[in-house]
Amino acid sequence: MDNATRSERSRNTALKAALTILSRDGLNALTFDALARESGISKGGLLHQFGTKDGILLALLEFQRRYLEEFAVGYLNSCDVSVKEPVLLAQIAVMRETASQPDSANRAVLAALVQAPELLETIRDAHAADLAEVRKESPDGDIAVLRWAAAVGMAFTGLIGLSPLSSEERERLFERLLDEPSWTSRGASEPAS
Amino acid sequence: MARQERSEQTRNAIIEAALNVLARDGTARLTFEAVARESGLSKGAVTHHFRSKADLFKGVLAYRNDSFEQFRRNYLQSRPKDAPQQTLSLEIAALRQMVDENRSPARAVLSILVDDPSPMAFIRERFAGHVRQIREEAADPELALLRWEAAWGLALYALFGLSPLSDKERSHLFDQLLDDGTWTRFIKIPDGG
Repeated sequence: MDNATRSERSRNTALKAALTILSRDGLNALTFDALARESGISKGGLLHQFGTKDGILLALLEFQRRYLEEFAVGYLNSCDVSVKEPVLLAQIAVMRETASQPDSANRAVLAALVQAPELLETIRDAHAADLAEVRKESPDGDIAVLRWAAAVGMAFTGLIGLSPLSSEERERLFERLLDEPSWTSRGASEPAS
Repeated sequence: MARQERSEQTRNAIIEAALNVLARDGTARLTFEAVARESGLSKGAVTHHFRSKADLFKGVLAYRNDSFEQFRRNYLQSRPKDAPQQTLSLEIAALRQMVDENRSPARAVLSILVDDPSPMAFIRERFAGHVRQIREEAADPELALLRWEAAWGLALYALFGLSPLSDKERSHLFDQLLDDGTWTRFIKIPDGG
């Protein structure tokens, strides 16, 4: 195993340990000492790797972002070639994936975000780019953006413990958001039978 | 002034002070000392009304919830009695209000919730009631819930500072969500409905 692979692997070990601490004990408990204990990596090594606590949070965010990006690509590849709004569908699917992950981990990342708003900028920029694509590919930009917003709403209300929907209901709603023909006027005006 | 009334006033003054501290300095700075300084009361008076920080959070949430209830009542009075999908419109308008008027405290409250959503339980129960009503009023309950979720998505994204939308775009999208006419072409009557 070369050095780069080894360093990548220890980084992933550290980030998984950080997620464990965040979801078990909360943001305040995330210290370099705790992380060293949890991951079995020396504190010196961790400090070298991440620098500061914000460095850990940034790396976590990046970790999650990359996971969801790969998820989106995988979704697009598995999609029927005839879909007209691939970017929108991938974004909705990403929100569905977020909603189905354990709350604790997502919430920990979200808590980190809320307390360090400067970390939000990269995400906001990425979303702005996606949204511009969504508007471009869709025949009805507003409806497309609102479908995306509904997916965001379902993921976020769940995260902050506000959603009164069961997971089956939420799943049905995600299915409908992903169903393109439901969102073209003609398809919708025809009876379902 | 009756003693009970005075006590109620003190309680509200403490909550207003807590909201100011939250908006200005964030969750981490919300201490009994800070709230006492802000309200001009003694720390003892503050802890007499709220024994723990969690208690104070609950008070803040209940207070915000009451002011939204007030908003809801006013909104309902401003609409014709026979307007369709009253609850849905009301909830969408209330979310819009939350973003437009109270960005910072709402955001601070959210940052508490992502750490520990348990204080939200009572509000979730109330939401479950709203959702039931939204379903009952709608020819297509799923579509109505998606409009409601989209309003949440727009609101929460803005509060978390994640939204790539400008205020003007968001306002336009809220208009669309509130306009029943935009959605009639997507109505699907559920089986057996």
